[in-house]
Amino acid sequence: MGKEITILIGDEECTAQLLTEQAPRMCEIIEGALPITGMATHAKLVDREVFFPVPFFIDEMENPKVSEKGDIAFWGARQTVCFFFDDMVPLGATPTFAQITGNLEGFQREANKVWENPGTIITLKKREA
Amino acid sequence: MEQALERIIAARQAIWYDEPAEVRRLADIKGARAQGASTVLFAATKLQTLITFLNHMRGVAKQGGVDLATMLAVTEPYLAFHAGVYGNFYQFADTEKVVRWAIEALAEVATLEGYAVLIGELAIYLNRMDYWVDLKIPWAKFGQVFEQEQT
Repeated sequence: MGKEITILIGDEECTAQLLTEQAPRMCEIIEGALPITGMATHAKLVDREVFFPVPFFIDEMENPKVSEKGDIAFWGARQTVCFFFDDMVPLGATPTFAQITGNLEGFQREANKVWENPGTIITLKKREA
Repeated sequence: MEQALERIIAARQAIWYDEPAEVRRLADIKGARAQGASTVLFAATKLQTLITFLNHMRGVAKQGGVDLATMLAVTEPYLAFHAGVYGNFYQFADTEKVVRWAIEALAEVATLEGYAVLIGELAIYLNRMDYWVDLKIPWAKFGQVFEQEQT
């Protein structure tokens, strides 16, 4: 069982589980960088994906998988954290380090607005005890 | 090189959460037929071409087994071309300055590791710039109009 982190997006608070067994180094880098805040942009080719850039690299290509609803991945070509928030057709396998496990519906409510109104603030932070 | 790195990182930190003034002004630069859409779209393209190049060159450097002098010889003119485009076409004076800091620092790069660090920091700065420009593009409306034009 991986560690849980909190995601804040718009008015919603969600939970994600870090995939520490499948992507240990990626999780270590992400956890070390928390809190991470970004402005969400909607993907242009993949539907139901939002993302934001981060100011660091993750060179480890752990746990590459074809993304599914709830997956959180890191796109190394653009130093970007990607959230696949509903059913979609991904472009390929992406290194995946976490999965949204709590209040995915809330994440979807906020993320669905990003296509029309980009710039929604997303924060990943440690889960408070 | 350390001074250039510090400057690039400081420039990136300055724009990370605050929209750069040069992006705010971008749509005011009118292109053909007095419209600013092509300016914004093309600025994004030119940022993306350099970002893609930098990320791939960084990856090659980190793999090792390549000649540093050749890497530098390929990189310098490519950066210089883009610095000029950013400054002249899009009035990105700050971004041009950041790219030119990187060009100057290339002369001090002594190892592939150092090259990867310098190029990486520039890529992160430009990546943030590109996402700011992306926010200027009304993708939802653009997509609707495009689909209407197809019918």
